[in-house]
Amino acid sequence: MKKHILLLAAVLLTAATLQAQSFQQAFFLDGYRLGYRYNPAIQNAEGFLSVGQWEKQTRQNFGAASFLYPRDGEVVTALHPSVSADEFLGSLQDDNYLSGSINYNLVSYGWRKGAAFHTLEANVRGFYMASVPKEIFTLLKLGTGDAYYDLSGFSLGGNALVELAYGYSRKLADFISVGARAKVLLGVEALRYQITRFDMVMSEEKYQAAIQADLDFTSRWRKIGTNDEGYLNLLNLSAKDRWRKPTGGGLAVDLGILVTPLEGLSLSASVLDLGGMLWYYGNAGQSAGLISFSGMENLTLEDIQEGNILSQFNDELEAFTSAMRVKAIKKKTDLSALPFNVNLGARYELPFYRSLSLGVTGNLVHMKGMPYREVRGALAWNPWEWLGITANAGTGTYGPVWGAAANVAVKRFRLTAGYSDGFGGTVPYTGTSLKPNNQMLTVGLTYDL
Amino acid sequence: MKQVHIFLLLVTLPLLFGCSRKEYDTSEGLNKEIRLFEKEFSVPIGSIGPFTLSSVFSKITEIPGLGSMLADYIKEGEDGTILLESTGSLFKIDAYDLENQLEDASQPSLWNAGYQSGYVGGLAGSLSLFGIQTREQKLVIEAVNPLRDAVSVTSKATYSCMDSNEAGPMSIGALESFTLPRRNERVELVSMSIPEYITSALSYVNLTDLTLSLPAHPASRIANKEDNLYFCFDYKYSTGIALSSSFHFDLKDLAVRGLNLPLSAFQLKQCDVTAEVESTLPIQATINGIRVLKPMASEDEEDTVDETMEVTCESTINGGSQELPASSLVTIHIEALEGTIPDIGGLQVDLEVAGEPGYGSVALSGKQGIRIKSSSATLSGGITIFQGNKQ
Repeated sequence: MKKHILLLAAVLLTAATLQAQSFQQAFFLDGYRLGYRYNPAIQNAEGFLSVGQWEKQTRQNFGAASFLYPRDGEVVTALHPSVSADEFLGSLQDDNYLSGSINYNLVSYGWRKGAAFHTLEANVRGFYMASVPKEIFTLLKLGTGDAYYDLSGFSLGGNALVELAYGYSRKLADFISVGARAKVLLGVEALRYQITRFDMVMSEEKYQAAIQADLDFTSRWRKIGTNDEGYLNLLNLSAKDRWRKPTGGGLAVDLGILVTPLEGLSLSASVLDLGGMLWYYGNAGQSAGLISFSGMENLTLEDIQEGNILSQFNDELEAFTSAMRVKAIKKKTDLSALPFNVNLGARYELPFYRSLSLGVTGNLVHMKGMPYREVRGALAWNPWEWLGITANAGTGTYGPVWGAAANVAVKRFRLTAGYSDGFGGTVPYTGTSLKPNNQMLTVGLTYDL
Repeated sequence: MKQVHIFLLLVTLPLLFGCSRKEYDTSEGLNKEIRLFEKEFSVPIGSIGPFTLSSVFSKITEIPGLGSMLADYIKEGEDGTILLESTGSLFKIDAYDLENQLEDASQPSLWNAGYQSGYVGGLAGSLSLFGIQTREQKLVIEAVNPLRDAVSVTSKATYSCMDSNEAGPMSIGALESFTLPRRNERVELVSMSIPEYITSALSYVNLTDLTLSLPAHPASRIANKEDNLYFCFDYKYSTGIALSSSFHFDLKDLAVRGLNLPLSAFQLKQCDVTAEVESTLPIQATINGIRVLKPMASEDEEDTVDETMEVTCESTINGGSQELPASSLVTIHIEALEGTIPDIGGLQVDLEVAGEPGYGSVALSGKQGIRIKSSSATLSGGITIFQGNKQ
């Protein structure tokens, strides 16, 4: 079982990585050319070409400090004897989840035509997530002191897709612009494993569990084999030789509006990734049923004399865990909605020094089971056309957040870098946040036409 | 410029909060020692057995020599009752010898064999020394006449018991006068049950004044000289067994080998094993002591008690019957006196067994036995898995 889970995770990490992200600081950097990704109504002064912008985001409602503890000059894990159960379990949520996304921009091209601004983009997007209920860690740390455990809520998921987008923005008047982007999504692979029910009663006499879990691995070019009993064998992945065709298809739109009611004041609102994906050619499976384990049955004198106790015990235990095997079912499609973003922003350029502006942004990510909200106050300095710097701080679902970004132009090339994170520090050399956080890194290069 | 400096300060300050924390540096490794289930962890071990008397006897009969000898005596009835059986001869004489002993063989005559007896109790009698008494004793007496003529017989037959206080010699009325059919026909003269109040084993069957009415020249009247020349009086004895109130044993150092539990890797401090024992045996067993045996490198090695372990168990397993099985809760507490619990090779048990009052008179059945209906182990203090530092 452990192998299966590890393989699931490995498949997930290779199959899913990227997802488009709203770069909040974009609203405050005048020289940033891909601001239409934050709000499709934002227009650039001139056309551009961008190759290879990289955006990466991780979000988790727990931090590495929940699992790593400094002790006497070394780092121990949460299950180390020196870490108390209260300290470890007190730092966890009922459901501990992490998600990550990466959006790699293959190419972007934008051009102005009168009051309108057009953009074309090709991106590779990916997304992964995992959720582990606290009770699993309670069981591992404390043992079977409590008779009933609800281990449901464990899930793994991810997808990878190619995005082709066309954006259109138009000034309706001097003070208002609207914009929209239409996106065609071509699925590469997707994986979803979710335990919707896992009630476990553990007593001295018997372990009993009711389990319901679903697996869906959609891929055109890989197929999970089954054994003679019809169970999916996750170690048996075979090529289907259909890699040229997409695994799924979908549509999404971004909508935005930008209003300038007063000189120096900009108000922005946008909704991103409204849409869904239809994944097909799936390898679907289910685990369902009631299982129980009451130890060995009718161990004989011979078994004891021949030293077979442990092997028999292991056989019984294996029979218990085998109920979690995933049985193949016929399912060809899986329709899923994209997690959408709502962005609100306000920016005000100080009248006595227009290069300096103050602002506020709000962001809502609607994702089932993992909603996220934040509000940030921002300060931006755009003194020259070739330089823009912004920094922000605020609060989000996981506590205080901060961010900074800069945009520098050298001749027609523009380099943009931005980073936002929570407070509380990171693990050295890995950058893993120690506290619950929403971490985002953006690096991009554009060329003004 | 002042505004620029303020701005740069504002940008820099948050970066200080977001920096890496040196105390969490795992680049040189991570201590991977873990302790699971710190509060306690209970594991169902399951059911063991049943270990019935049938299975025990079948094990005994597999022992070379003694086992095969006992197998001739110990049988299991159709209903499962354990029976001790013995057969033997009360009296046997060759027709030629008999004719030689006659004063005048040319005339039909009476021949008196005098006093004949057979010791029938055998094993059953000796078991009484250990507190095992008989139940439902049965005696069958058969005889064979080798002549072509029927022979009339008279005798004064009695049987006696091991415990003469319980019953004196008892008369077997069916043997006072009877006729043996001719031509080697084995005839069952008596098939009798011994009264239930007699619990000690039969000892002797006596035939006094055994007198045969013979034809003239009996040796010439033998029906088939190549078959049988003998007058035979044989017995078949069978009895069930039960435990008397005097059944009592102290069994020291009973070894349960082959457990081979590799516990040292988990660094356990203490473990409590609980078992619900169901017994249909009319025996009350008291566990007076348990010791842990070290694992053996080879089967030839002698048992070695691990002195670093303390095992406490003060449980009594109550006796029952097939109709009323008795349940008892047995708890065993194992604790490491120093360090942690090492690998366990087996257990050494001191057991005191005694007949359970109230069930002593019931005949034992091969179906009776003992089983661990359910059992579990509870580990306290966690399971520590030491994988080494900095790996």
